[in-house]
Amino acid sequence: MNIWKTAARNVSRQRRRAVLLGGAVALGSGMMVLVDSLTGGMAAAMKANVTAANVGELYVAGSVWRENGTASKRLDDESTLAAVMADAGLKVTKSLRKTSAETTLVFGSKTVRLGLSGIPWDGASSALGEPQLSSGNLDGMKDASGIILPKDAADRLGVKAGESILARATTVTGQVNVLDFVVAGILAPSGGDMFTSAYARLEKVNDLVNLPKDGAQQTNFYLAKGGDLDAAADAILAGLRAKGAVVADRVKTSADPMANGGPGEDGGLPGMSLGLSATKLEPWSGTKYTISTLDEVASQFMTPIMSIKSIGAIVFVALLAICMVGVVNTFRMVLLERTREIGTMRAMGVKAREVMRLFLAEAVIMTGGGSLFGMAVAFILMPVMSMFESAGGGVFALFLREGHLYFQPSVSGALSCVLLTIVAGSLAALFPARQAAALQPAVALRGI
Amino acid sequence: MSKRSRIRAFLFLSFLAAFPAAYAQTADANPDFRKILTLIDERSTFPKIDFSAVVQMKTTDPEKGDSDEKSAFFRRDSLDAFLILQLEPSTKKGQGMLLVSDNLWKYDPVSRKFSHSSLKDNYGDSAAKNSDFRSSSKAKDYKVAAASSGALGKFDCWILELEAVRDDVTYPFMKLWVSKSDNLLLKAEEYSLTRRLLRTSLFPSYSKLADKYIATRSIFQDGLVAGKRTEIIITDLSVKALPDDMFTKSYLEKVGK
Repeated sequence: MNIWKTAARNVSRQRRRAVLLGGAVALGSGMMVLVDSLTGGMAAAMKANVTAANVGELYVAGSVWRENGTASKRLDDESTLAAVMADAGLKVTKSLRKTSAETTLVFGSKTVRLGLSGIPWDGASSALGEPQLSSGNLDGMKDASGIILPKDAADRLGVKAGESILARATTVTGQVNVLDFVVAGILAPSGGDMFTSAYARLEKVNDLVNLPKDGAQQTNFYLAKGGDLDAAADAILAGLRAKGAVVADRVKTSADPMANGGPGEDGGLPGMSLGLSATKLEPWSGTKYTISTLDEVASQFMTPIMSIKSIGAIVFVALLAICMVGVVNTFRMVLLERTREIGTMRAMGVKAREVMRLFLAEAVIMTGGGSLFGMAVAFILMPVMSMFESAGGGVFALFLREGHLYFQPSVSGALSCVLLTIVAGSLAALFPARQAAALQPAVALRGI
Repeated sequence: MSKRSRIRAFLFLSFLAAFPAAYAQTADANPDFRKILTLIDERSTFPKIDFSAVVQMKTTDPEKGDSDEKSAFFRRDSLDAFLILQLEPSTKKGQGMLLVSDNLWKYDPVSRKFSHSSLKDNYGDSAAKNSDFRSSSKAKDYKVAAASSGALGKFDCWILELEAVRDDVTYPFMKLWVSKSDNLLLKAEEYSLTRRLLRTSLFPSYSKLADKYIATRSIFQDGLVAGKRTEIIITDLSVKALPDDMFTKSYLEKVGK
């Protein structure tokens, strides 16, 4: 007896029942594949947005201990870092020096608190590449006082390209400073807006925080595609320590976003913290390096992704449980309906084991077919859902790619889902299948 | 005595008579300005006793609208500590701010959480700074770079231009108007490192408490945000001893319930 052919025929005999059960399985599997691809896409989009906003994926920041018992954010010793980078042999595609300031931007009576990143500009070009501007143009950055604002901040200030604003910030030693900037351009909304960083010329931001014009607070690196950020960070740390430099212990990436302690106590991001928190610090001499990676910065934003994934998994498990109950009931019904048929088959020499296999094969066809159908529907829905532009801003925008939902399907994830459904369906069908196999031919033929 | 001699004698006597006045004027033109700064600090600091008051704060903000707040204020300068408990409006009741040494904490009774803050930050959305509630340390933080004589309304004042002596003092430059008659600080201007006016503070009325002078009315005018202004009125001044557990986080939690 060809078990699979017979099983397929049996399934097609009760089309309505098969469609209902398969449909429920398809719903669960399709939803799981969709959620898995969505969370994968959200994580990828978020990392891309964080990389763009932070202008780099691997960050080496410096701090200097001061006589008054505080630390000052400045990367004074860049030569040691350069030597270590040369020795480490890392595949760095791009690096840039950066100084950041927490500013209050003032325009008339309007104020906005905003991070300001000072990066090197060569005329109108920088590591930002060709950012999409909603107004103004990058030529304005040829001016030493040029500044590029995120759309949200510009809207809240009511400022337009070409107008002057004031930026108030605290210097690296804690004094208040104010400088004039001219809005060169206003960025189009993007996922990186969550960081709401404005960009200006490095030397101007150095002026604002009272660093030497050619100074910087950190150096950011981009690694070649596929580069292991964690390993690179460890190599830099080991290299710096080998040269006798003071290096802060790394805050390692964790699957649990809260394991890193959430945002740094000094208001920075985990991994970006320079240890300038309220907790008492031990003094050091020279430059203290702090190395962090994109993964560490991104880890705190994994919480909503993990929540969506968990909710999806819970719903999937619930649907799977409902399907399993459905499979049990369906096959008990099948057992009652086909008692005589089973008796005949047994009387014709079909073994009990083959009857059980037949039942299990029917369960595999129904759940596997439903699961594959659900997966196919999910794969059709993904590009359709990606077409719609999301109106959500703020934190939500961080997980979008250019304002659209982004799905990153995982073949292994989808196949695991199908496999899990088949296993669950087979397990559910096992009890009625064993009952069917245990039927005595004579008793079954009497129709009991 | 000839007429010529009489004239000479008159001129000599006139010179002698004028000398003390001229000397006095010279002395008046060059008082020890450092002492004046020290006096300003000492008069508003309570090193051995506690100080408490009720603070009413009225802020005019063209961006965020006007607001009225009332707080209970407690200070123990021997610990370099203060505690501010919000009384009004009702939506903010129970919120508090605690300074102990250099650690400044904000307390939110709804979330029951403390957050670290900075003395350099503005107090809420006002034009007042958190550091305005701390004891004054101008003599320690600044040197007098220039001084001149001038008037502020009907008051004759010394106009002192101050420069921070360290690079961690929040305002690198200040300008003070100190009344000549009683050495009270009447007006202050704070400047950024680029010498841009950040804030103008006016202290039009003082109350004497023990041997101290407390500005019972202060007006803070934001120098960058057009039209932003905060007026602080201090009432119910007291130097009664405060309980020792008052300047602790647990006390703030307890009263915030």
